[in-house]
Amino acid sequence: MTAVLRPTLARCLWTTPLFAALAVFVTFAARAIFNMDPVMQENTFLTVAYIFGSVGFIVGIGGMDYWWTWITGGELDPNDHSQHGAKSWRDYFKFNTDHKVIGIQYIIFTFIMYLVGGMFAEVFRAELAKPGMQSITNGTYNELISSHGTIMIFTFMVPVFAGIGNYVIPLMIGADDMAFPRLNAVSFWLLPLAGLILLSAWAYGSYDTGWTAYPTLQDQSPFGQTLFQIGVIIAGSSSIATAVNFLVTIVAMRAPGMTLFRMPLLCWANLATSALVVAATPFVAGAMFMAMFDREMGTHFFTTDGGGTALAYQHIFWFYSHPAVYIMVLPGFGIISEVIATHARKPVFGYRAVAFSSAGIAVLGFSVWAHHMFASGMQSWLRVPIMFATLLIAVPTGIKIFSWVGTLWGGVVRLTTANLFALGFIVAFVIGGLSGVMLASVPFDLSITNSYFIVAHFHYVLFGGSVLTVFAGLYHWFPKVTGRMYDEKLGKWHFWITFIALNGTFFPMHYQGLEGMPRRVADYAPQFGWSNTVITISAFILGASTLIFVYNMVHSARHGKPAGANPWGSLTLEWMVSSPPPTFNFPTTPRVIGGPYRYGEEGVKHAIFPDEQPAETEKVGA
Amino acid sequence: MKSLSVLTLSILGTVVGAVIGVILILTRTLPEEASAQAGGIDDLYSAFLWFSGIIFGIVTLILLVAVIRFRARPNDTRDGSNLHGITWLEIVWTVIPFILVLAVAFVSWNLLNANNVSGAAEKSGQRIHISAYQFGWKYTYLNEDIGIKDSQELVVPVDVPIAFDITTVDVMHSFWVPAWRMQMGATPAQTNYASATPTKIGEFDIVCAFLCGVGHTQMNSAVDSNLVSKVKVVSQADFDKWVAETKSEAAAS
Amino acid sequence: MAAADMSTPKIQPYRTNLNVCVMGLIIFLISELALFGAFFMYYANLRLARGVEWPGEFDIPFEPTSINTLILVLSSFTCEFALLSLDKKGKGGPVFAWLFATFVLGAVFLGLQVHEYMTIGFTPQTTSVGAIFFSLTGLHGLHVFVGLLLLGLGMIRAVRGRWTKDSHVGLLGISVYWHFVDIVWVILFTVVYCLPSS
Repeated sequence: MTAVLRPTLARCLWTTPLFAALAVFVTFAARAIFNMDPVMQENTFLTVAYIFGSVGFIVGIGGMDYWWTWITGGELDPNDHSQHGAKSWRDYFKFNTDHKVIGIQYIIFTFIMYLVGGMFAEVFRAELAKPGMQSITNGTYNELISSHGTIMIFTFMVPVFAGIGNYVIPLMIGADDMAFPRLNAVSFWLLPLAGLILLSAWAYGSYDTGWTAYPTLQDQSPFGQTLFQIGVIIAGSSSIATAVNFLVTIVAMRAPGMTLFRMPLLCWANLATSALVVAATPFVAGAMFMAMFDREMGTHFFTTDGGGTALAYQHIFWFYSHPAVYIMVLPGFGIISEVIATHARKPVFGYRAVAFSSAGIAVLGFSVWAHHMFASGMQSWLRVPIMFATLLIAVPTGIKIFSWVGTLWGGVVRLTTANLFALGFIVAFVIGGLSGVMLASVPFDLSITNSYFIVAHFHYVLFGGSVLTVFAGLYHWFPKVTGRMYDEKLGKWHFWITFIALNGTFFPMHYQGLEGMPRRVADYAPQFGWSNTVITISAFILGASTLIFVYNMVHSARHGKPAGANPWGSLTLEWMVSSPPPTFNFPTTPRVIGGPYRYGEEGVKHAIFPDEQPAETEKVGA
Repeated sequence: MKSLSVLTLSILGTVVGAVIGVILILTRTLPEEASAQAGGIDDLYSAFLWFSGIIFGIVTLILLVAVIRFRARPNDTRDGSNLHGITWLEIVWTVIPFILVLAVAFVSWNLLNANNVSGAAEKSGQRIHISAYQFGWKYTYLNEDIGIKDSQELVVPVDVPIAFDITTVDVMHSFWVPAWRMQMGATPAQTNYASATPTKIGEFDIVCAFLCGVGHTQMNSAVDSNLVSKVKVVSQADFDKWVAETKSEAAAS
Repeated sequence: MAAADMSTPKIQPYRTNLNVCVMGLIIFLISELALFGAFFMYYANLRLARGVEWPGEFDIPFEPTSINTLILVLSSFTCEFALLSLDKKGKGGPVFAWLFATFVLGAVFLGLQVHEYMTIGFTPQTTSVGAIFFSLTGLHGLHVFVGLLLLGLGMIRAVRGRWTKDSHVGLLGISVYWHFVDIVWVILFTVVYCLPSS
């Protein structure tokens, strides 16, 4: 009985419908009072039910309990840590304020969404295996590609880095938790909500307008499109809340001695990413709100009648969604710096240049949104400046790539799975980056945009780029999170199959696009038949390789051999505590005495515990 | 010694990369070049493949050699050198890409201006209005001596610059003729402009490149030639004949 | 080991001179500004890129709204006086009074805005001009409404004597938020009401 009153998922079972029902009732009453016609407007009721049901869910899970007590002036116990840390697996299904628990919640949830989004891709790849229509209709095909893109971007690629950052960043800077642990928990619990809403769209005819959902096509879609908008807004709120948290944590919670230029590069990358999220994500929320008003309230923001302009949506949408590309890859750059420095036993080449290039990418990222719109008929004077700014981003990106290669040169390169993924990332990302430089050129872009060349480009950047960095990071920190080693042999199989299948899947797409195959089509001209068969087979292999990873992680987490505090011999702070780390991270406040990558210097440390107990020294060693 | 070997590798990488570039250029399967603009774009693309191949060659070759030469032996607990950076090298690899992208920007800018033949088309070519709908295209010839309205067929004379203005009556489409290397979106509530000079007689595919609903897949003459007909490029004489026939048909009906 | 870990965290935020709560709020408000930015971007696109007449055939009332603007600006001052009237013991009276004054001014502002909506003669559905007018002012109105709720909760805590000169981060947060709402309104008023197409 008490379970339905205490903050649990069980409480959500009644708070969610309660809030939804109240909202529907108020809306109904308002419509009746103001004599709106018709009073029973099903889609409006569903919209408010979803929005306020979401609030109910957050209240139910316990997101508001503490703040409610505080703001109403109730008594609070500052030493109450009952919601902090996990003692059993059940605690992972609760509102938990421990950044390590939240990090694991994030990673596991986003990975489930990765599998779901991947399944969508496998289904439509099966349809594309040979020319002609196979088993699914045009409409279903469009819904599948839309769901694939949306799920992958909003519930996997953006938040998975928040998950890794959540686990690692407070440990790296020597803090006991994030700056706002409860906000952190709320921003995690918004995410399953967004995921469920996006998936529940399938019950209302789904959405078939791609992840970009341009008007005026989206005005023709069934109610699922409105759920897409609500889901994206909630996922966006989640990432804004996390970004505020990261910014404050990294700026204000660093251990003594941790100057900005002693921070590991992942912290720099997360700082730049969070700044991007804070300033850019509200734009996508704004675009979604306007599009939703058009659909559900009959406004004329983007509809042709009533003086609206569809192009404005594209401007506002891409003003977020281009920075979003960097939101999805900058933390990956940070991970690669950590992994390569540790596994090549050498300081990151040109630390300051790498740190500043993250900031440079973040700043430039705001001036290039319109390169997605060269063929949309935007203001023609914008084309050349945007082209120039876009090409300029190649410079800081190049600095990073060259610096990583420079880090490897003269190191002692250990080919662990984590490092293999980092190396594979560099190769794949160079390909994706170079095709990006080509696409920045307006005349070339105008000859092949919206073709499979584009699909190839952004999958090289997002799969070959971001996803490989996620794998590199997960293998790298797996021993820290679980206290056990993963199976290197399986890991290497996973890497090689993934890397070969990824090139087999995405490289032929360049050729298809140049030859004239448009994207987002369920059928194509017969001459693309054999290349599509190759792509589909590779895509299935790519999907299957994920199963090796899942098996390796699940099996090794329970049966792997114990890892010890610091299996890689890394210098950064998170490796100076036990694996998994204690609930409050550090037994005593660490003091940072030097840079994070001082490999190759005899007996040098990044940080010390000033009042070290003898027992702690053993753990710190290596 | 160390920097020398990196230099040697860079030269070797350039050679390997150039070979990769050649392979990419030889294996690419572009549609035939059927417009005066296509050649310039394909040349730009060849240049891109060369310089991309070279950058890729240098980076991956040095990466591979580094991994093989500096790989850890089993139970190797050594650290690498404690080199934190070489300032002049970092400046070099900032400045060279900067110069390269400047070059790309100016070449592209020039090509963009050169490929815009709408001025010539206004003076001595054809002006055609394209109206996109779900799912197809309608063509209206704007030159006064032709005056064909809402044709389902696009027939154009060879070697004459053509200026298109593109609108849509419903959702966003994109008018793409891969053989002309020309694409322009049809955005709701506005008119977009594009131009091309066809140089080859024949029939070429018209593709809708932007997701426009359930019929998007079929809005492509290579997939469903009943729904969308290919663009016919004909000689001036054949074009005049077609205009006369179409006009008399329209008058008869 | 685990039992010892469940005790009080030993590490407190190191840079106590930076107030993390206010810092977080300010970063959040930058994000809020960007949300307004999305709507301003639409507005700019409408007027600058497309050359749409503003407000066109509609009549956006300038004089009553400029009085309303003064009311909101005044409320920023009363909110600041609430902070100045804090004392060490947490006597809630003066703080409550100033917060209440702020609340009343905010409520009057909101009421006059609603009155303007009902008499303005066009709706969000009329044209894109109506849509962006109502969504910009409506989004701001929503922020005023949230501000009123926060002021209400601030008053509850004031009555319970929870705000003292040494501990009033929450009240500081409420006032920062209220100033933000005020500043956004000044920008919005300038752009939407004071810059009609000539």
